[in-house]
Amino acid sequence: MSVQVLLAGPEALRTAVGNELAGCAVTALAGGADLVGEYARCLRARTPPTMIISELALDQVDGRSAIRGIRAVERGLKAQPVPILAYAACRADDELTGFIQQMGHVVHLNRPQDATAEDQANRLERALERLLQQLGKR
Amino acid sequence: MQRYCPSCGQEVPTTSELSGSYVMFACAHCGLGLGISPATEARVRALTGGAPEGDGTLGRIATAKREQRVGDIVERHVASDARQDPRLKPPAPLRQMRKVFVVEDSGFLRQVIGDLLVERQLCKKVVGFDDGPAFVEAFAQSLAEGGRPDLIVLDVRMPEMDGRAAALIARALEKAYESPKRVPILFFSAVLCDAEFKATLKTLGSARYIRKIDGDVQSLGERVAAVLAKLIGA
Repeated sequence: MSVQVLLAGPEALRTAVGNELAGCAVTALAGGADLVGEYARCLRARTPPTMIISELALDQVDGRSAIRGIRAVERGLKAQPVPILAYAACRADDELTGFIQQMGHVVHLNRPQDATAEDQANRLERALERLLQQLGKR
Repeated sequence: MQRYCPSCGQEVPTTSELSGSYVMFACAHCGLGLGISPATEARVRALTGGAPEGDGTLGRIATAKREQRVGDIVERHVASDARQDPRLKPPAPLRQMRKVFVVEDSGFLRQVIGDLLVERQLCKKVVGFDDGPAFVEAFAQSLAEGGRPDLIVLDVRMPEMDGRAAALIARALEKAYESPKRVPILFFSAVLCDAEFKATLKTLGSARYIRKIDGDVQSLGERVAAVLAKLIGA
């Protein structure tokens, strides 16, 4: 598994995903700050992840702040922007669309309110597969 | 006496009192408190065309800024005046810091906080940021290239990324870079330090909180120095 993915989300989703998704190695993280920190660690080790999957409703530091933090770290370290899959239980309204455009290289995936963790993991797997194909990683 | 709050911009009935070498102002709407020295008061009066005696400094600055007459010039003189005030001595037990990051979305407040630190010789250099992401960018760069700050002063309420999130991200970055020592964080805000905020301070470690206004007669500079003594020590 040469493709590495960072995933930030609630415990149930992290458990359902485990450490592999669509053939990619997954590093699962609980909060937005952990996500930014782990991303910085990967950049420092010169092993940047291929993709980041982030739930927008995270503990302590929410997904939006985390994505802003990721882009800020990239600017500070002069790194290429990593593609981010923003996963949220809300539709992409004008505000969210504006945020996604502002951040760049961010794709929004809607999470159905009643979806189980396993359903969410399957949905993410399909989305990840499609994105990796678009990126030429498959 | 009418004054305009530099933070919320409203014309407010303010209270003021002389405390040490500072005149303290407090906004009744947003709770903002500021200290302006009499020397600065005189300079601002001259710059703003000799407004009648008794009008508030902050009111004149706010009015001038609104009318775009003096703007940055006034702020620059506020800074230079404060630095030249010979009555202001550094607190003896505090070591002088090399570099401090000040993260505050209000440009005026950012200037005042920076001036407070420099005029009291608490630090040599102040680097200001107007939002959380700009701070995170510079902090990541400082960890990667060396030259991290000795102190971070953070506002809590900011539009793009609030101070708590910025602080938690800063701690995560320190961990990523295996930084041997955490940079002390001083939250400087009008937001009340409730139980949730206290828990955040505990999580962060090496972090303190100071309100922009506390209602007592102690000057803002003295309060900052006192909190810094606890935070960074001698």
